[in-house]
Amino acid sequence: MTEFRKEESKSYFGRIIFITYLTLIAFFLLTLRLFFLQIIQGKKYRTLSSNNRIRLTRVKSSRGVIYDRNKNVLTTTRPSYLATITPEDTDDWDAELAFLSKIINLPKEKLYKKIHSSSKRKPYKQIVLKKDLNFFEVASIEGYKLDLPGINVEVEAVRSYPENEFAAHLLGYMGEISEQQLRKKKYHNIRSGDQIGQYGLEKVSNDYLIGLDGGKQIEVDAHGREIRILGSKTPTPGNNLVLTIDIRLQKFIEQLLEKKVGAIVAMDPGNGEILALASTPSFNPNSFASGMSQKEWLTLVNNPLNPLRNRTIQSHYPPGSIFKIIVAIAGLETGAIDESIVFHCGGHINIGRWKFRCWKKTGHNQIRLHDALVHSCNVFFYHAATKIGPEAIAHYAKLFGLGKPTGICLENEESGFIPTPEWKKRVLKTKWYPGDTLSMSIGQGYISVTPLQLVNLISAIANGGTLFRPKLFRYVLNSQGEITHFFPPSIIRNLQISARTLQTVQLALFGVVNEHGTGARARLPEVEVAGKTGTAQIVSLKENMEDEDLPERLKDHAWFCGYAPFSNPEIALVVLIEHGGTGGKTCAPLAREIFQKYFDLKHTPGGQGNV
Amino acid sequence: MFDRRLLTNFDWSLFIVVLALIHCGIALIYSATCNAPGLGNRALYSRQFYWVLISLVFFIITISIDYHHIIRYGFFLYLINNILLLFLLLQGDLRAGVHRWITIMGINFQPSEFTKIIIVLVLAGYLSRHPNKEIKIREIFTLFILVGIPLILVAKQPDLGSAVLLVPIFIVMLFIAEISLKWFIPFIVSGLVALPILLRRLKPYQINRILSFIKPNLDPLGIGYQVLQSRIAVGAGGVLGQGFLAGTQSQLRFIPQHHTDFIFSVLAEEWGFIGCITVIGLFLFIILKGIDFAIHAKDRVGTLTAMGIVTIFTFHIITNIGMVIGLMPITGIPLPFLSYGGTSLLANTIAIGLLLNIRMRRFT
Repeated sequence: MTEFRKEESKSYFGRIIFITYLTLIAFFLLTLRLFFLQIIQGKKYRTLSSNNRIRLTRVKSSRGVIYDRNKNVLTTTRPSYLATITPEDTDDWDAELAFLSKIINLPKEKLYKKIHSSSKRKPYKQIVLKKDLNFFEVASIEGYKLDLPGINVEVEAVRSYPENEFAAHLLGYMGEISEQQLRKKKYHNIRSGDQIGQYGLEKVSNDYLIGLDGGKQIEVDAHGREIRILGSKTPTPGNNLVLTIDIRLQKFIEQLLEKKVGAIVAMDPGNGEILALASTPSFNPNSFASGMSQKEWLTLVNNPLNPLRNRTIQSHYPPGSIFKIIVAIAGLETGAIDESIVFHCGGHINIGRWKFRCWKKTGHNQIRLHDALVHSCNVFFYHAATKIGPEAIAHYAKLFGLGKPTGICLENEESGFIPTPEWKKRVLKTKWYPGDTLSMSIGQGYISVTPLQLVNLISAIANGGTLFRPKLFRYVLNSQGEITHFFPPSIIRNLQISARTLQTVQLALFGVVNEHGTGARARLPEVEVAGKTGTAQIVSLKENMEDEDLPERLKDHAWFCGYAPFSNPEIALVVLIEHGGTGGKTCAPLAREIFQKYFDLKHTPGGQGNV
Repeated sequence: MFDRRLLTNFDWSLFIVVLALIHCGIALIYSATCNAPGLGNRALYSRQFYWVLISLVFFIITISIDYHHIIRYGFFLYLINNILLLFLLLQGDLRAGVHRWITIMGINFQPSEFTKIIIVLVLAGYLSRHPNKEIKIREIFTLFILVGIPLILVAKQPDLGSAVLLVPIFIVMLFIAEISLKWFIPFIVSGLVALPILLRRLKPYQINRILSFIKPNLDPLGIGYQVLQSRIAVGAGGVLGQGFLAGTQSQLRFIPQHHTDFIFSVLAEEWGFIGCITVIGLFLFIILKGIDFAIHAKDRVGTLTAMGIVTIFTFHIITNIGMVIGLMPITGIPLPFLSYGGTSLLANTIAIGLLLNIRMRRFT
């Protein structure tokens, strides 16, 4: 070993010495740099370090705008002035706060409380003392600036909804990010105290709208006042969203619904685009953005009519006679009934000791499918449903998307419910009685649907059998106005219903409106309208008792759904009025007005024609 | 087994210098974290102290076993280390998207810290078995594979700093092994080929770090701010420093990771130029001692191992301090004995143990 060593020792020794010199040079450079920083420039850096003279300030990005389908603005931004304090920059903050409390009309104790409650903040981070300062307050603080070191006025952009309650359920509202949300990965770019969308489209499209904050690296003086900007990153504004909603139709519908409790959805049956989506009573999203008081919040939440609920997707009701469409399709498709089958309606049928009534006490006599739909005869569908069986009816109901959320991009959508004998046995532990089938056939009993599901169903019938996923977004625009993302129509399924069946049902729906049927009040002179009325009972009526006699809360829910023009549908509609009485009397006239408005708008600028 | 001659050859001066640095480290970690919110942070310096005790146990074990035995098991250790690294990649503890730690009995431990030492052992073993004149293209290729596997595994964690560090170890050890200089040509060629590929595969934050080093104004809110704040902290230290626990930059937490990678900025701010020169002097002492041990080692294996370890220390010290004072881009490389981190301390102590081991057995 040692011999081997000696033989080579010369060259490896040289190489080690070479590396040693390299190391010494590197260490010398480190020392030189330290000498330069600490001794030659030490004084400069010590000044910069005292009071942390180099700071980062945030420049918030502006939130994207939401537009209607014709690029009318639905949301805007307003400036809000904040009074802030940076305690490290103040000279005598006791005196300063006493002075400030007089200017901004807030008791000194409250200001102290705000400062103490943010004890966990990072050093030199500003504390907001008051939001939404008025002009006089802003002017006073700026005027006494020299006496108030460390106290500043900042501008913040606050989301604002120019038309207050307009489309509130759809647009949603903004609110401060919560502790739990801050922990989510989705919100990793957002800081505590920031506003994010908390409901509706503001929430679900938050990622599109939010943009990317920028900031400035600044040098400040001993009182925290900016001396110069050392570097900056410009914020990236959020993207803008163009919806499928038509602001004019939406506004018209909301006016129609005023003082009523209900929901209306209008849709383009050709592609599933939602033209209007309204639910009443509504709320004012502006009150959320500027921070709501406990009292305001409680009155909103404790309102028995629940204004925060979006009735188009978050409430479900029995569909009433509208469900007869499904029974008819199930019957025709399974072959259990055909167009020529005749049943006798004597005003009621008896199953055991139960009496199942038709709405017309005197009965419809001998009646076929077409007229049974036109006049909404219950007894015909009792007989038909008994022949078809509940399983087949449930199958077709589910085929049309009932019993499942439609998948619209809004949160907390209800699924509604379609009962089956198997479900009843499993969950309720009882047998499915023949009477259950009868209730089901006229859309009563366990069955429930959301208004959106019904407009989707009627759209599928109008367009010849394509079930679309309801669509709210048309496209995304970046801040330069370029389209960055386009949302194509999305199909849930093609229904595979025979053309003959569809035609039979479509003609019957035409009859409902145009052949003195239950929906005659929806008739328009120039445009051919088709539709179906429905009346969802809340209690079953005793003999000889009329709906009008019932107290308001027990009155029936009124439905209408339909489409127009009959031969080439452009708009499908569902109208629901809670406790509204019968669909034919209450909802059909509203539908007529909406159809009328839609076709009027078509011929005015900014309407459907020129987009 | 324990020879009395071994103890007489134990270099106490090196051992004491290392203990002094560890001591400084605990004081700096205390200063950097004592005002941080949360009890967890306040306990960091005491946790570091437990790691010192653990490290001393492993230190004694390391110097007790003849380094030839250790090197004989080098390849075995190499395999275990690679398996651990692979395991980390496949199902690692995801800490901020980083797969670096394995938790054993509640102790977090970072296998990549040991990779460097194990590479030194494996290379020393291989190069001493192959005299320099026997090294041809096949041997060079084998060596590339040996270093390449752990390098890729560590880089994937992603811990680019630790991965890149394997390259100078490799080069220095080949150089000391008296490989003919013509064999360094493939290094230069493969380096030039790999660079553009590597640059394209870098993560955005890694590119950001490099670009910000070249042009600090590029990311004024992120890296640029960190670099500037670090420089202010160092500069504000002046000649004598602001005093223990009195550095405003470090105390106010403007510098991220100031108890780990940026611990030197705390030293510079609180102890000034004098403190920095002292610590750099101590580091230089360790390095020169290591070189001395390498020159006087009993055999080729000893020389190679000692030089490999010296290279580990040199590169850690230069890249870390260089980063803090703005001479080098930001890499996640800790400062030996000063930065908080148990595995790092343990690995460094074992490395010192190996150096002393080589020195103790130079006459046996």
